[in-house]
Amino acid sequence: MTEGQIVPEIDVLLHEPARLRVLVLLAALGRADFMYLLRQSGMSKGNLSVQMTRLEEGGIVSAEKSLVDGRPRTTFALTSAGRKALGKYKQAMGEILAVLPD
Amino acid sequence: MSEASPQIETRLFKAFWDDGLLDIFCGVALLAVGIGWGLHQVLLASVVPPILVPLWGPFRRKLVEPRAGYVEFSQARKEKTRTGLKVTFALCVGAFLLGVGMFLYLRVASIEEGYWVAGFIPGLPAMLLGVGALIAVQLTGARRFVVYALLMVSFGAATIALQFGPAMPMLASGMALTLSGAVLMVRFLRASAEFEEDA
Repeated sequence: MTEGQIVPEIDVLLHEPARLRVLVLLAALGRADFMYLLRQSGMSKGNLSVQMTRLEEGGIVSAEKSLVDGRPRTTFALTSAGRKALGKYKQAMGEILAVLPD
Repeated sequence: MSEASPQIETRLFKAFWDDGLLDIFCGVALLAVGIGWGLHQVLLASVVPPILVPLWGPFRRKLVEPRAGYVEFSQARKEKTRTGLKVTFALCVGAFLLGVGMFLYLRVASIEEGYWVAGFIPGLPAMLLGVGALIAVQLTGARRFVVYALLMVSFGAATIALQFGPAMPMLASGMALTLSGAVLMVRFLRASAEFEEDA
């Protein structure tokens, strides 16, 4: 928040329903692969792929590639920067939601 | 953040067990023990459950993970699960040893000595396993294990009342768990088809 700015600034990378859905999953879990996120988020494969790329490019999530039983597996987890960003986002949204009428 | 979403984490962990593989494994183990007791091959039956434990991982990786995806839960959840598994395992071993002890006792006891004991002991292992099923509810969050626990206790009580052998409650419980697991597995595989087409 810049000086003089009363209303908290919202991180637009996080403030998007599809991305937020994936981030909630990753925040609740430790690590998950693409298929797991696909099933639990209810998103299409294309949409999830786009959102994961954006989050990875933004440094919010990290991808780890490995071979399991000869099959490639890519798992995703929140980065420490991602956790901090979500913490800030939560605080900002909390302030905003607190002044909204019931 | 993980502390802020315990309900979501709990629901995700509960859903982790919805594929039916755990039910099938537990059911097959009970069936094996029941068949072993029924054929008076107690030691042979004791081999099957320990064989099933290391098979769980490979089966899950081959059958479930390609369809449900891979997930690692938080460290706190892993520790809680590990403790619960140890308690459940100890109960299963206890139930099995109780059954073996009972089997051996009835073979060496005189008719008078064994008469009153023989009446209720055959149902006890299933009842103890019912307690194990309740611990599984706490462990996995899968409420169907409450039904399994009730079934096990009922089968144990019926065994005592109707003076069946110890194999009956094991076979009946094993059959119930295996069938229920098979239904869940079929549902899971059907639900996975759309994701396989999509992938």
